[in-house]
Amino acid sequence: MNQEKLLKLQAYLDKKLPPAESAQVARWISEDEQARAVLEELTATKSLLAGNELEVKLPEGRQFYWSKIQREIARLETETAAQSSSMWHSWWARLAAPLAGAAVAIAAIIFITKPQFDSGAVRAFLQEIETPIEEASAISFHSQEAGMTVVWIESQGN
Amino acid sequence: MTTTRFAPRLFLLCLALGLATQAVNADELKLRVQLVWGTNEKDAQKRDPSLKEVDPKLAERLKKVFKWEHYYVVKNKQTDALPNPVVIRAGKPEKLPLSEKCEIEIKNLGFPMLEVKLFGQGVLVKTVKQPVSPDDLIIGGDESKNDTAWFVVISRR
Repeated sequence: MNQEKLLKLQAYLDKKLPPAESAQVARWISEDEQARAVLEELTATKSLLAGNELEVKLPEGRQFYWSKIQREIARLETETAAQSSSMWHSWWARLAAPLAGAAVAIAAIIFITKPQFDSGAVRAFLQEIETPIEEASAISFHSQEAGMTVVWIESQGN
Repeated sequence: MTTTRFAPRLFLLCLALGLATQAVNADELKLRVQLVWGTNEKDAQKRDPSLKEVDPKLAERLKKVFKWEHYYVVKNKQTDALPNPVVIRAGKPEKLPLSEKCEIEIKNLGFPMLEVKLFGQGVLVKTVKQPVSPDDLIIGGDESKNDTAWFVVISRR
């Protein structure tokens, strides 16, 4: 199945197709066993993610909320860097390192061999943002309701 | 009789053409790129008649996420020259100027990854790599001095 068809199935599942195209895809699904199987898998993944996602209401404004997260990430990264030298001395850290490496390798193999699962969680995992300019920081988030992935540049230079 | 003999060959030819078309489709992405300006100013269009409101559906979705009430497509000589749709072929990056100071470069990294580079005044500001999806990719930022915002909207719709 090619990329266009996979995306069409995902859009059909997310109810983002116009009525005429949606009916066309429904016909295709009813006639094609492979399409049905892929749709079932996407539906299962979606319901699994939706069923296990906690609804969180933001206590403050969106931009402030995201900037707080960003500051917290920066703080934790600094702490982790400071603690990392002493952590290596503990015996369990020596055991944890190869286990973590194996887990990462397995996860990478799963994601590489099954790129067709284009769920929100996978998208978030695969997304990468590089900021070569030091003064430009970015926040990235995905809104399923609005159907968009946003990369918000706080200090911009256009 | 002749039809029966040629039918399998015709079938194979169609199959080969179909597979070739599929291979080409997998290697090319058709995208729509728009530069959008967001503002809370009610009379912006009266002040500048060249401003064109974005598609109402896109405006509604932007309003769900951002605080600005009005969204306009930025029209200039660079955006007027943009192909619609922009066709991005695998391994061949496309540089798209959006204004005198801003341009983006889109690269199809092969399914499912897409790379977008944002340049401001010729300097690389941001590189975004993410899987292709039916959702829009929006790169935006605000202009703190006049409380407006700009958005590069990249969509497959």
